[in-house]
Amino acid sequence: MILIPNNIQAHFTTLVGSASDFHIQPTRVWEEQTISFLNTLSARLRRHPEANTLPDLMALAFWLRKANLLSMKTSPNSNRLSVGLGLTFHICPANVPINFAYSLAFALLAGNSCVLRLSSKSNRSTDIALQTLSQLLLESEYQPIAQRVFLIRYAHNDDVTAFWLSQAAGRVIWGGDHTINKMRQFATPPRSREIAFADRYSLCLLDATYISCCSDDLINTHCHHFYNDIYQLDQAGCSSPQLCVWLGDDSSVIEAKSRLWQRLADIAADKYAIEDIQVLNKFVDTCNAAIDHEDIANIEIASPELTRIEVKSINISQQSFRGTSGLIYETRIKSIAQLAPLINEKVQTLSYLGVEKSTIAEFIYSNGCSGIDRIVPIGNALNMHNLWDGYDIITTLSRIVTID
Amino acid sequence: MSYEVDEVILSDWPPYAWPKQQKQSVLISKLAELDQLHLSQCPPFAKLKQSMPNIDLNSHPFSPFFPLPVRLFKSQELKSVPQESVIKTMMSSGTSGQSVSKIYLDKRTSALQVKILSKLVTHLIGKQRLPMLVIDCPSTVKNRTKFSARTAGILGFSMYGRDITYALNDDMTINFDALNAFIDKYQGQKKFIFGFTYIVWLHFVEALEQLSKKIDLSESILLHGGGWKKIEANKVTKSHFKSRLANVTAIQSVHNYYGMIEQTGSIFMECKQGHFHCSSWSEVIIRDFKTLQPVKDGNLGLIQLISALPHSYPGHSILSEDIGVKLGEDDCQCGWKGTYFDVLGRVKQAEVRGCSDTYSK
Repeated sequence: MILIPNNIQAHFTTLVGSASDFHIQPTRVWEEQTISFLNTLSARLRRHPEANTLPDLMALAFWLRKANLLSMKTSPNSNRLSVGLGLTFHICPANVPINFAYSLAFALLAGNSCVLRLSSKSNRSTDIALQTLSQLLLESEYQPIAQRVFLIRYAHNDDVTAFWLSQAAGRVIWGGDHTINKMRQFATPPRSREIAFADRYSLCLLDATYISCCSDDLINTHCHHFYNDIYQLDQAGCSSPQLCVWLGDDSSVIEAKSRLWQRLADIAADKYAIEDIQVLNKFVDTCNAAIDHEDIANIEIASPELTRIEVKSINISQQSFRGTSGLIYETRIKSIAQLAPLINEKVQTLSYLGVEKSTIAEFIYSNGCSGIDRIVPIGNALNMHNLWDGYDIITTLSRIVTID
Repeated sequence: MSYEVDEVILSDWPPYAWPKQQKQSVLISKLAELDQLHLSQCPPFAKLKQSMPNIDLNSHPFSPFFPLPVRLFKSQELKSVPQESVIKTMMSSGTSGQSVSKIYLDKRTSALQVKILSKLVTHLIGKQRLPMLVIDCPSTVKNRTKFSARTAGILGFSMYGRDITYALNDDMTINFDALNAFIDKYQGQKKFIFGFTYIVWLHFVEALEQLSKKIDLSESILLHGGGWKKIEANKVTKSHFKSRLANVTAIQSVHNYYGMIEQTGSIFMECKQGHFHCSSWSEVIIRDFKTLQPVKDGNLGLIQLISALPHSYPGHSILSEDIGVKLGEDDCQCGWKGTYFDVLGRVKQAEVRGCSDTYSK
């Protein structure tokens, strides 16, 4: 149990769990019951009548399947025990509200009790996830889990935040640089751990020769994958690509571009329900880029769903040019080494198509890159994984006990 | 100087008399001149025009004039005169509230705004200065450190009235002493009333209703503007506004105006038929929300506003975030020539996604 002072309790509302039943007792990492609980949650979410219409909810449901969870588990070491830290406190993101569920799953799998501050912003998927979670936690079988889950909401209140941060052995901070800096102003236990998801920049690398040789069917498949990376989170996820880098000679790049963009625009026109304000925001961003960017070769507003801004060269300043809802920057390079001026610690995901993994690995090693944490084939940019932003989340949120 | 000759001509244009062809040829040649001016004097504007593709798939008479998104006045410093020529900088918080638009006025543009506004207002209320009631509090104008659109509006329109009386106290309650004195003094005479739409509604109409008081402001003409956004939640419609206003004040003649701080002066007056009218100095083009192409009359879209007045900043063709519908041109029942249209609100903000900005307010 944790004693929450009345003046703190008065300032938050409880969404799931109860202060009186809440327990802080670390359990073992990857506990069978936790996995089974998350797997059941997955099944319930998939069965929800609206699941098929909500891609982000469906993605969460599939991610919570036992098989997927276990795929992230590293093999145990007989000389080590892994247990949770105890209490974890999570500041969940406002703009991808459903991410609270991933944050919770990681912390539970790491053997912790979890207090999550949810954003006041929500959406349908998040509401359904919350409701399903809350119902499942009422079942007697899951009472031990229920005692480790406490979801709250409160308007910005430094006293409440300070209280939980002073109690937490681990904290998970979503929401970017501004939130991280704000949270670091509060006192925290000396041995507490932190996972902080800062603002990141992501890009993709496409091999033009490969694409110009693909069959139409294969182009179509790739474009569907590419579509997911760009559009599923309105291109606003940290791992959504902002920049497309074409690798190849002039003629193959021209051909590859025309094939890929045309197909992508068609898929987006078909699948992406863009809102008026998104079109307007994109137009405003494009106009600002036209003025602020020093090296634009061409701007093409191909369709309401797709605007492309071709830039002549790339360097770190490119990272300040970000698009949403299908505003993509692109450039052309002749060899992968030309990527180097763009890479710093802010770069998170490099998704690729048609480029050999070994070529990219060689680039990472030979250029002393301080950034790029994930290298994934296109289509997987948004796939949440325990290894994220350079962290092993579950290991960070747990404690290793050596036993010889 | 040469431009003075030109401006005599510009401000001598008749507000609503020219038929389409005549108006277009005069307005477009003025716009072409403005476009050249801003291209040569405002580097960000030149860069924008040079980098952006022409967005019109089919060209039309106004396609040479790029619809500059109004939000760019927040993110960019758009100025076509040297800083020492700037006599006034207008600020407006506009939509998002975080950053402000900055509109740089020089002597010439500022004077033009006054002249053209005067042409439009006197066309409506006559050339004689009428006793004027302002539905606002005196401190809005006294406190010059907060020079807002409201201050600018009141000061601007006060030039067309005399014996200016403020109907509200500084706490925004009705000042009945002042109000009744004004009514008694000018009983039976034509009066001019000005106020911002939401203030007239919240602090005048609703306040009178709550106090169960009725006053007699018949023989008055009310001009109001500034947008409906702040009272949108109250579900106030145009006809609602007029009938409930008439019920408590007996004001029969009510004219709304539509305009943006980015195009002060060339405002769009509501005619007797209840539609906004373009004058000789202005035009609107309604653009599709998705393709941004001009739509057919009768269809909804984003309003692009054209003005012949902005010389000190590139505001002669801007894309607003307002939703409008063009109803026709030259054939409004009211008799005024020009494009007439309705405004139906503002584009809805979307659910935003992304990884940042959890804690910032």
